[in-house]
Amino acid sequence: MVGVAQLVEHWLVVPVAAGSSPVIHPMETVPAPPLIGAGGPVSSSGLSSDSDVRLRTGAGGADTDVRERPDTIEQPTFDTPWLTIVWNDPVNLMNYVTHVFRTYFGFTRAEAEKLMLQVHHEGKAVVASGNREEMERHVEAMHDYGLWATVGHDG
Amino acid sequence: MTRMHRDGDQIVVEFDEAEAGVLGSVARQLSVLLADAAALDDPAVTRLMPDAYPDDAEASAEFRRFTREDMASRKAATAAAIADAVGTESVDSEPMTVRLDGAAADRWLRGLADLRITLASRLGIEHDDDEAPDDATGALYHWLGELQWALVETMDAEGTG
Repeated sequence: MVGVAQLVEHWLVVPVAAGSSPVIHPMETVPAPPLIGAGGPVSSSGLSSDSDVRLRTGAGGADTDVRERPDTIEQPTFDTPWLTIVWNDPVNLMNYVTHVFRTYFGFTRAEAEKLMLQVHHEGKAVVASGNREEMERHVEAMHDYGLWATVGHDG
Repeated sequence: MTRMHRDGDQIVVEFDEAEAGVLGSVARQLSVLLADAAALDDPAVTRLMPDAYPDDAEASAEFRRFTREDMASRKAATAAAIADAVGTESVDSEPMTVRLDGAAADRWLRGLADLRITLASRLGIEHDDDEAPDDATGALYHWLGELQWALVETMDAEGTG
């Protein structure tokens, strides 16, 4: 591991990123955004305008409710379950992914490691199935953990 | 080099000089970035909160509308909590010890993941074969990984939930 003293020394002298200013003086505080603050284009067309119409968190709108309603005989939800899929990414550590699978989903260590390895080697793994709203909650939770997760549909 | 051990229900993190300040600084930067609504278009922020439905733009947009603002707030609060816990953003920070209870340790894991994802976005690390550059930011990326790895191992050691 690189010593942090060495790290800081480099950090202070190396121009850190295209578009950001090289740091010249070691300041009292760590210099201006080395990378994290080197943001992309700032736009006023973000999501803020949508916030006014936001009704609730983690749940779908009216059409979602219809689709996931389990009392429709013609389309029982257990025939076409929704899925929570976790995808491989180059950042998250193997022991962290295993830890998240254990602590959030309650998998045993062996189950969690098997799923983690499936993500790592095959690129993705289905970690949960059920109704759509439940899968969206799981995906939101995975994003909270920094994992790359999506909602899928079986069939 | 940061050392870590368990003490009952707590995790004790011992930072060498400068380490706590570096962590505090980048964590504060991330919290500021995520608190900025305009930053929701930032590619790193997009990577922190990816599309929930990769093949369905409409469903992804709806999911985003319902979740993204709150998630950004939670992530900002998590990063700010790390910065508050170390209490310094100075490269002159002294060696110091931080004690984490279970909830705090969980927050740190998430915050460290978010920090690494953000740095990975800035560094262009997109695939398994991509390597962090041999410079200060790359070293920071690796150090945060070491920190997170050790924290997971310490949390998952006997006696944790």
